[in-house]
Amino acid sequence: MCRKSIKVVLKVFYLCIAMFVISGCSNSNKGTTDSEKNEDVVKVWHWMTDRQEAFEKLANDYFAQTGVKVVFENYAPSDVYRNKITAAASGDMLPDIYNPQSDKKELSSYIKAGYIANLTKEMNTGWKDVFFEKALVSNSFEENNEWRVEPGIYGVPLDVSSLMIYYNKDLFKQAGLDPEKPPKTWKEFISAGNKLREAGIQPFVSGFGEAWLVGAFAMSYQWSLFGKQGIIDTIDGKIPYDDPRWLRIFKLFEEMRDNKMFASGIVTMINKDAERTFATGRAAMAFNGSWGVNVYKAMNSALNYGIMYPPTLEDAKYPLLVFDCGGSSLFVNGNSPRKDKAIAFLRWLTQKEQQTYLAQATLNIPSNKESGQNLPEILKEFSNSISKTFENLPKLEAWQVTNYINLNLQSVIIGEKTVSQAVAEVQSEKVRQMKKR
Amino acid sequence: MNMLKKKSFLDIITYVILIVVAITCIFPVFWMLSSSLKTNEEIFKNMSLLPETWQWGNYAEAFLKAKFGMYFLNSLFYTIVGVGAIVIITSMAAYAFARLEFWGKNILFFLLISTLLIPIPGAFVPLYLLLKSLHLLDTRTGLLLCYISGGIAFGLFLLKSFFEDLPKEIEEAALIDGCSRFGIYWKIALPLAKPAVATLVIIQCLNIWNEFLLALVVLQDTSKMPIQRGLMVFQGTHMTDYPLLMAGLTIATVPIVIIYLLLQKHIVKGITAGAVKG
Repeated sequence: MCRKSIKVVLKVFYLCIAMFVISGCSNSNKGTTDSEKNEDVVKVWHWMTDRQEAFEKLANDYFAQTGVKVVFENYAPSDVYRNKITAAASGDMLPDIYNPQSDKKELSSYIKAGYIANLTKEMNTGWKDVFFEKALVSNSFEENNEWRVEPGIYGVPLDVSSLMIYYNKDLFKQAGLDPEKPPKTWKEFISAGNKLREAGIQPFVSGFGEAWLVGAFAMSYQWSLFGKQGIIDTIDGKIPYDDPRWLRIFKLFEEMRDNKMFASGIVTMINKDAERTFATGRAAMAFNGSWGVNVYKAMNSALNYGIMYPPTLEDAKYPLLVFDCGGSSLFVNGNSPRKDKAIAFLRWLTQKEQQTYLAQATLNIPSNKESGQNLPEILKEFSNSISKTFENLPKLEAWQVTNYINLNLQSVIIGEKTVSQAVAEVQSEKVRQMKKR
Repeated sequence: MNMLKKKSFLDIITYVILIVVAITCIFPVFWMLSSSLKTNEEIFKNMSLLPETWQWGNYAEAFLKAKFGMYFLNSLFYTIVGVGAIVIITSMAAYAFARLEFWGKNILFFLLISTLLIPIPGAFVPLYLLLKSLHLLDTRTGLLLCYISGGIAFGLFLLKSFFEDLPKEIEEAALIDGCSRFGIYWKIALPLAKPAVATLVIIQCLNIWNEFLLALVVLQDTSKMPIQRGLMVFQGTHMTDYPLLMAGLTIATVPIVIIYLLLQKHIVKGITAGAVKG
């Protein structure tokens, strides 16, 4: 019996070996990609699963109009996509259009290697005028940048996103709050939180387990209390982190904690869980990105919600700005033999008609500022918020210091540290980093 | 009487513990099956394991949307050839390491075993460059070679210790009867190592069937991708289509469960044999 089954297994194995040899022999392209085989096919590698169908539809439209075939290949999630891009770059096998999903330092190495084309010339022929100015910032390099990259525009933004506070209108009503008048000031915000808590509703949730979100919330108040120059002075070390204004920012979180505003477990909560908490009506307010519109629709299409800006501080000198998440962009492979075709396609893709379709089909904010008018009301509000996002800074705070701010904010939320202890720790890290500079 | 009572009480405690452990193991599988039959909204709203309306269509949709037909055949091919090659290569090598004496044997063995310490993501770029220089990038051959080389260290480690524990007397008797070294390996050692080989087969089947990162990096042509590539279409940065993902996972799990059921008798034997030896 056993011998028989071993013989059967061996036969199957031999059959597969034969198939393997045949498939190996028939593989005449020997390591070349499909795009190399098909000279006219523009290949796009992306990670945006929720947009695949819309991309395919647009690619078909483009083919009908121009005869140029564009293939969108989806490699999600993002970490897998990044691995693929890194390996393909090492082997000089990048597609015509892609995004290295990296910071500016890494992006600069792609540009220097010729893997990303400078699109400034094309953008200056009126193309850049269609975009939100903010959308181009993260895709551009300025004069005298620290990475010594030729100044110019390198990426094509597809959409933009910002962070706002979503609020559940039904839960607001349940707590005796006016769902059409969400809190605008910090005082009103805390008072609304108290009313919600009294009604047995968790007031506020966010993925504060992902430290960047807690930092993003705090940064709105940094802009509000310090202004652009104040932030630059802080980065330069001229304003210390134990400045009374920084104490104030940390105290905002302490105040929220003392008023039981936070949903339970918020400091260990990833954003996906926070989204679920809000979508299922277990928290009344959620600090989240514009992508939340899409997420909440999938989780609970009957969710009745609105959005509001983070509440303002009465004594703030500067306007409150909101965190701009950058959105999604695509880059053209500078070494691609189909570079011109790829640029032409991206130009077409970012025109009003295509952007409107993409925005409506995928519920993202289009990067084309003219496409925002035909959006659902909530997305239109998000679209309007883009002009109120953080301004571009000529320099960035050391990531170690930013990390310390976020971690210490988390510590304050759980009561692990006092506000003075937290700011003192951030300041000592700042001093350490300044010495390193 | 008291002894009997005490024994039955201990039995009850044992069963309760076993049931709790079994539930914790089985629950994720039930959740997967239950979620595969719900709508996306229901997954978040209805915590019950029983769906309100059973969405059997999710399976057909997942199968078509993920192009499972094509990927399934690819995975079957990679798994059968990869595991077959791993078993043949590692069993021969392990037998040689266990029974033959040659210069540098231990150094070579530890060198091979030390590759277990290298995580696959850490080897992406060098593997990619190596395959490119061999003109094996984006080929089934290239991916299979990676799978085979990735499975050799573990197979060697598992089988060598098994061969070392086999009684030498049987082999010596075969030698006296005129059997060659290869004949001993093929006709005596390998059949006796069936429990260890079964364990190796199931572990490597799991590894290759579930592998995804390497395939994604090595292959460009989607028609050569394995089944896990199909599951990817249901996951996004901010959005996941849970019902279709769970339906897809269920489809992808079935072959592995079948292999496990077919081989479990040998695996249990292998484990118990090891226990007695210890």
